[in-house]
Amino acid sequence: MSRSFPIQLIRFAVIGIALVIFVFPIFWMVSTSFKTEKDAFRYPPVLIGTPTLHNYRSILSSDFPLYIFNSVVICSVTVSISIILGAPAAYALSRFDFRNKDSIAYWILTTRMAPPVAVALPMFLIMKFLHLLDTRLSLVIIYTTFNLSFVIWLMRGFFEEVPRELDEAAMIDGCNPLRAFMRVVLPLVAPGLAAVAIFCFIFSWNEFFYALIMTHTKTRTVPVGVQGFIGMYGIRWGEMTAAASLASAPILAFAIATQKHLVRGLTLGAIK
Amino acid sequence: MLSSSSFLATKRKALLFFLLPAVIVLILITLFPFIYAIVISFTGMEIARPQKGVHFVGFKNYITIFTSVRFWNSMKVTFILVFTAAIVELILGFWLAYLLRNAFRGRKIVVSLFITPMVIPPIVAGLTWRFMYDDAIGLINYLVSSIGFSRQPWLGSPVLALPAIIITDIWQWTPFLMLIVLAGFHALPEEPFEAARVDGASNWQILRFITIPMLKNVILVGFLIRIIELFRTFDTIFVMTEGGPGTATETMSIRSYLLGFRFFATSRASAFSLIMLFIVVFICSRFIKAIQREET
Repeated sequence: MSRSFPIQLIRFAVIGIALVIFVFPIFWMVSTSFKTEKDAFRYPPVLIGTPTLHNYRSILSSDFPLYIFNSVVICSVTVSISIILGAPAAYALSRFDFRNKDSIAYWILTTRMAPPVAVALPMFLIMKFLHLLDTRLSLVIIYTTFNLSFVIWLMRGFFEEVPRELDEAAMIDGCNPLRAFMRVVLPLVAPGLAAVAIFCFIFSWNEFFYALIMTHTKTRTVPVGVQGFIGMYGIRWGEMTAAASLASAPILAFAIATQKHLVRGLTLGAIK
Repeated sequence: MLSSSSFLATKRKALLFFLLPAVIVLILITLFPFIYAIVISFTGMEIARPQKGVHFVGFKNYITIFTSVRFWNSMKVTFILVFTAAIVELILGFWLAYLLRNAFRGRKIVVSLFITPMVIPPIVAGLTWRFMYDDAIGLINYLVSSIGFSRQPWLGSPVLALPAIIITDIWQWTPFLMLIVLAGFHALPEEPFEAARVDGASNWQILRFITIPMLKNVILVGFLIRIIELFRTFDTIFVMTEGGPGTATETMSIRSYLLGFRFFATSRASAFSLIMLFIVVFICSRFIKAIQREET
């Protein structure tokens, strides 16, 4: 159906204005990170100042690279554990029939719904008791909780899209269930698995609350590092925006790479 | 050749092998802390004063909470935040999806740009808006004063701080609902729309009587997810106002954090978190029931 020209024009104008509103704050953050201090605080504000890498140089010579390292380690380990434990469990939930299957699946889902503050205190006390405060391991354990349930729910949906006949045929041909899973089913869901892994990485990378209460100095993650530019005597906006840009860049690249699965991931498979 | 009974036995073993490790890990890291939280909430424990010891106090912590003004304030703030933000996000998200539903050149890039606010770390979103809300150098005050209004101390004002935070959340999460409704649009069948046009229905009638009813489930799911997530909101508020000025933006999440990790009222914070958890579970189960009723 063709629409009249003025209506189309209005439609694109509205989309354009909305786009500016949603993208501008991010542009402003990135642009500030490349400004000199003088340009950053100029009034009236300037959109793009004399470009400088001063802020980036400054944060890269601080502890910030260590925080990036911490985040990368914590996220990679968490994602690996969640996938190794979660994918087989999801396979079991999609293939085998057993009592209380749906109850188990829903219980797994509810572990994800609870507000993090709700179990923060006992978690903190347990970590303290185990002498794990201010270690990367404490965050790996906590992030595994919410990523594991996520992996199980999403992968279950991906496994259900693979016809059962395939792995049943493999088992009749003499494969044991593990072999059928590894050799026949897993390769078929590889794109889904990759998307799920990327999601887990994003969730862990962005997590702030637990990172704030569990870590102190040497094990800080990127979000806590960014927040660290809020000082007693004001915020160091230049360095903060540079750190924020560095924290956002990999996540944006990942999100665009998995855009096809974004809706499915963000709704835990409820909408495909 | 496997006999059928040994085949079943292998399947049984395989089930345990596949499922058990994940279930055990989940029990250890979720159920155990949860039970521990319940136990603590009935004691008088303060992390900062271990010499006080741990002793059973019955419902004392719960009574203290229910009789405190700050609890009811945090509940009010939370409900205002959750429902205003979710409803505005739904309306704006639906509207944007409606505008973007037909393909045009470059739509994929436009959608990618729209989703940036929700994928960047929430902490970055909060700080970016704090920068823009800044009294002295903030862009918003510049815009406000250049169109003739007076400058405002946005995050420092008891009246404006909560709306300012709600605006940040709307900016961050409207794209989420847009994306979901857009997926719903793409899954719609063509026939009812063609039939309606043949019958001479107006655009508004099609939207009101065909599109919205057919997208009802997608909308409800998206809305429910936003409600759950909004109850958890912590990062943005924490970096923008820390619950202030006064208690103007002190949601239940923030209050619970302050009780536990600033005032070290360990047991009271535990009780507080459990009350909050109960409220979230209650509201969610209501919603899920409503969705299931729609489906049947």
